[in-house]
Amino acid sequence: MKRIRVPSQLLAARPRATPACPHRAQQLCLSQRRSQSTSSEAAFEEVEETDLDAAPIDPAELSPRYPPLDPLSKQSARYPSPLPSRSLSSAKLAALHARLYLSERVPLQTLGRALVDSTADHNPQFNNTNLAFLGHTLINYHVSEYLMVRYPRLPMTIMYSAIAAYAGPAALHQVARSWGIEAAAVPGGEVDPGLLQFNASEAPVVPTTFGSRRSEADYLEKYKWRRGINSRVIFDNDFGEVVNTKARESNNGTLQPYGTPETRETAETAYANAVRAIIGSVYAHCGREAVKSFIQAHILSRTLDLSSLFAFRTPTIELAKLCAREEFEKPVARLLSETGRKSRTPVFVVGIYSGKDKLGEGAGPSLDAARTKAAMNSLKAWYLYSPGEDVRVPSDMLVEDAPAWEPAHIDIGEVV
Amino acid sequence: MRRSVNLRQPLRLLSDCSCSSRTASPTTRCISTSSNTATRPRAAEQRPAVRSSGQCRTYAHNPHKLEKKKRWEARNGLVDEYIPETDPALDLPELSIPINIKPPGRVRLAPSPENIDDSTYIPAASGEGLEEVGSVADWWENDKHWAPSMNYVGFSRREKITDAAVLEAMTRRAVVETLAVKHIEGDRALTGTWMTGGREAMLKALAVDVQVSEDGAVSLTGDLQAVVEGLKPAPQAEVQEIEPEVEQLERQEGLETAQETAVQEEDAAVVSDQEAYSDVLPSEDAHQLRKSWGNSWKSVSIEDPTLKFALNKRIQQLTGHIINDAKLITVRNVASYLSVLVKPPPPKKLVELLERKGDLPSLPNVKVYPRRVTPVDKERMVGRWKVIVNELQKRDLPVTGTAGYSKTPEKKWAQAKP
Repeated sequence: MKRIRVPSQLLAARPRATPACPHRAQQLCLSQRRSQSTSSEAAFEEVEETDLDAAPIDPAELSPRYPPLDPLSKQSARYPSPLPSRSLSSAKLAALHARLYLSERVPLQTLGRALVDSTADHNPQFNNTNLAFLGHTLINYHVSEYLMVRYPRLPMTIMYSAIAAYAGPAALHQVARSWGIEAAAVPGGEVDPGLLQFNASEAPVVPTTFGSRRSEADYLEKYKWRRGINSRVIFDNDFGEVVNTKARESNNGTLQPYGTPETRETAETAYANAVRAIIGSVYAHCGREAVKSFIQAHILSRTLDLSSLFAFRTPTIELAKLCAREEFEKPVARLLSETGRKSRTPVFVVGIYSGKDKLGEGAGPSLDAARTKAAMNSLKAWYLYSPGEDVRVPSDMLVEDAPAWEPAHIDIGEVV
Repeated sequence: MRRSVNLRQPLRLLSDCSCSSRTASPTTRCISTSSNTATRPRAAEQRPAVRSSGQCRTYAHNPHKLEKKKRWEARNGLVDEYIPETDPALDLPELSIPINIKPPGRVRLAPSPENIDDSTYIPAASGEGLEEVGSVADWWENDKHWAPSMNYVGFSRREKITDAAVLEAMTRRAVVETLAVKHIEGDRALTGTWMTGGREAMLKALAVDVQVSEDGAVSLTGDLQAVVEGLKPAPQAEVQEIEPEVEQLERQEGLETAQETAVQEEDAAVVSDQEAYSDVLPSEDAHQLRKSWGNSWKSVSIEDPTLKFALNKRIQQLTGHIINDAKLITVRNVASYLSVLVKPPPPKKLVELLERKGDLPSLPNVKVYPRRVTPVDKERMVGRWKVIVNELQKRDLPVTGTAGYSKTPEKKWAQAKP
């Protein structure tokens, strides 16, 4: 079997881009894809057969008493990832397919490929880079539109956090764990195709659909430069994080100790990429509707307490600015009730009123704390406004015979 | 079964030999394994020209045994007086019964020291250290000294037929033959001795059409007479010049080296096996026949005990399968007989059983392995094995096994063992 490497247009680097991961920038850095306007010529490059033939001889395989359990595994061991045909006989893969209730149109081979991370097999025709990219865009699209329509007044930082909480690597890692995806100890062709394969000694590759590398990226961490929200919107990725700050020096050949922050990050990214790739394969084989319901079932159904994401520095001032901007009356704090003023644990309940409208109320051990709390609650009530649970998202219009679109609420933005 | 043989002829010959070599020295004794003309019984000239192998094996009708029995009866007072019969066979100095064995040859002795011309020859003072040449100790253990016709031939087929279609065809043949015998010769003939028959007899029986009417009556259409004739032993009238097997043996012994003999014997064994099993249908033919017959003939009733017994005996003869009585009682028709008869051989491994059942291996999320999944396999499945091999080889340590290193001695010390 010959494997042909095709550097796809998707993966080609932008001409002037600085390679963030120098050792294999051309293959894997998706963040440089956006500026790619012209197609790169498809150069076919054959992987040399010689280095594949020089697979080390396993002394245990020579024993006539224990012939290989899988006759294909010896042939497959010459490649960095299992042969696609081995996916058909993997019990783990079939179990995962059934557990996720995937359609029969999603073949086991694709599911097997979705579990091969780009750190395990650098050939994009046999790893999950492309599928993960597709899944990443789909997840982020559905999560973003859900949050935008459901909570139209969310500030941008909260929006970033919320998207990361639904679609970020940590969340997707948890999803993958809950799906029962297990990881192989070391990637290789002889490994069971039902196991997630990644190489912990290499730097993780995060698919990035948005943002580009800042010119001052190297100094951001060094000097702790502040990143304003506008620059984050322009330069940073979907979760408001800096794109490819630093390339990790990979030391091939030596085993990395387990449990370092680097290996943990690689593992987390690999799990997340597997989930993205599975969602991408659902889209590729079953279409838009199927992937939407799949994302709703597995991603958007997760509970997220948005109110816990907020952190106000000066809530009273912010509330006053908000009332001024919205041409409400000035907010006034009024003591609603109190108990134990002279005691060790007094409780004051303060309400904030704008004219006759109560914006919010809060309780605290002092008048000041209660007022601040009431201001926070008022702001949260404003920012977490929701038109309703059954609000329609733009992708609902893609269904045939969809009712006419009612314009969603668009907020003018947060109080700066 | 150990073969027994009447050693009358060889004994006589041995005594002749000992008489003729009285002058031989006892120091070195040589027994020739090659037969010469002196060992050939003179009765060979008197033998009838035609002799079938079946006649050679009729020891049960030994006249000596009859004589012995009569003598015993006279001694115990069962009969009045013992009068020896004037049987010409007993009076003859040599028996005319040919024996298909090769007896040991004449004993040849080395010349005595006085008769040796070589002046440097010093006779040995004791037997210690002398080479022993030839012996008759294991003579009868050697298959070359027995004719193949002396082998035990059992009633059942030696190797059981396992192919389901062939078994069904053989059952059909047995049913046809049993019903034909019952129809033509009556119930009494069902207990007779039937020949296994060759391929022709089988094809004749399989060509007979069996029809079962609704009331259970069976009608056979075909050449039933030929089928019945095929069960009887072949007529003796065919005159053929058959060389006695002993002579073949002797000639082989005299002319050929041991290696060539072995090769020929193998060939002969293969040929004889092929002849013995030429009556078995090829599996493809049996499948075709099974399709053409359908299932209607299997409703032939075999509730009649005589018929059932004859059928069972015939099937045992043809296929080698013995159905025990407990199962035979439950059999009422041919279909139920087949359900008892046609069974796959018991699986040797669990995986064979599971594959035969088929429910577990057909599940996609279940993997059935043909052998034990070793720790090495488990490491290989998660990809760690290649790392283990690399690290062990880097340190010149054995990958599997201990490479001659003993177990850890500290364990022995801890257990306070010597």
